[in-house]
Amino acid sequence: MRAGPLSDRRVIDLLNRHFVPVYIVNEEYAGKGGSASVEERAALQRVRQEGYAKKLSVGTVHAYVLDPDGHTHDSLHVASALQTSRLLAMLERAVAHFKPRPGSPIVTPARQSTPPPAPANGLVLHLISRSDARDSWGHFPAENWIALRREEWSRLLPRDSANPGQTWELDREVTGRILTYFYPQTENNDARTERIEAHSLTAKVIAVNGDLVTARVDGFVRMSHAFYPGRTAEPLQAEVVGVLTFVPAQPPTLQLVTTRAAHGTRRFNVAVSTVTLDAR
Amino acid sequence: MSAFARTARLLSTAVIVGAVVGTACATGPELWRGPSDVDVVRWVRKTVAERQPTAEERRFDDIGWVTEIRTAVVLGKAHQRPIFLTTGDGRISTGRC
Repeated sequence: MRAGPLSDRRVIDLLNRHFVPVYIVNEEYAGKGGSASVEERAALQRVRQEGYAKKLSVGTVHAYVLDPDGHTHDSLHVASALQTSRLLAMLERAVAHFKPRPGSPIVTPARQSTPPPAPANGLVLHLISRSDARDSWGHFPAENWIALRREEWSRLLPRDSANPGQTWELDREVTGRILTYFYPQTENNDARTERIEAHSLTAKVIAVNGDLVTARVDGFVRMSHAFYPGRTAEPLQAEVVGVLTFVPAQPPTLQLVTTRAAHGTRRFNVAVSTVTLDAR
Repeated sequence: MSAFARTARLLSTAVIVGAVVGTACATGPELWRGPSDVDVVRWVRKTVAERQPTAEERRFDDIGWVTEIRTAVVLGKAHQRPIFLTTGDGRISTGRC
């Protein structure tokens, strides 16, 4: 949906001028782990029940039109909604039926992938992963945000003063929390660190300017990752180069990029960077 | 030169040639391990920048979304607009879906 109709200028204009657009994440509405409130879950349940009552298409991955009071009016299964012409037709039918007064977006469009609140004295990393393939998953990159508390980022730094040429291995528990997201866009997003079979990032000081230390980082991760949830995992390997810059006892700046990465036969690229205050 | 000496010389030449070819292959583009220490800061910064999402890849953000059904209903009533609801597995906002 995102790579197709929800990136189409005609759909975007229709949604902004005539609708209140809302997207939800099913996982937040299911089970004990979901963050959606009881009332919010009931609202989704009501949308589905009204869809069934009207003999509309109903399911977990769907596009719905609700009337201005929130009652289910129309729907499309994702396989149909993926076709821009089908989604446009449903939206245009709704505009013709409800005749909303066209105007500016009710909510100002804004970046939807945003960093989490940084823990006190913490560090937030932004990860981009993009597949070389331009299949359904590869049209736009995937993102992750990784927040490290002070006791975590401090384990990336050397225990003693840093001197040119000095090397050390970054704490594996902390680097595992970063490298576990080194996978391309896949339908499965189980990012548990237990998938990692081996990983290591080693830093080497290449410059010291006063208190400011610059170190290059080299390493790798090897793990198993399934493309679809519950399916057989495929081998994944990535080689990594980066730069770690720090002043002792202060949050470091970390940048990592893959030089070679493959999930099965699918090649991909990852970039990690520290979120600066200006960008947040 | 005896036959044994010739054979030994040929073998040692083959080993040297093999080592040179092997080294050449290992430093070829297929096994490039990354930039030198001199270039690493510039190269990593440039590569991170190149891999960021483009405006075209972020068109989803051009839509004025809300992320709760009840909020959408409140706004729908207030502005007399229909509501477009899309439900999906995973996080469409980050592309992990």
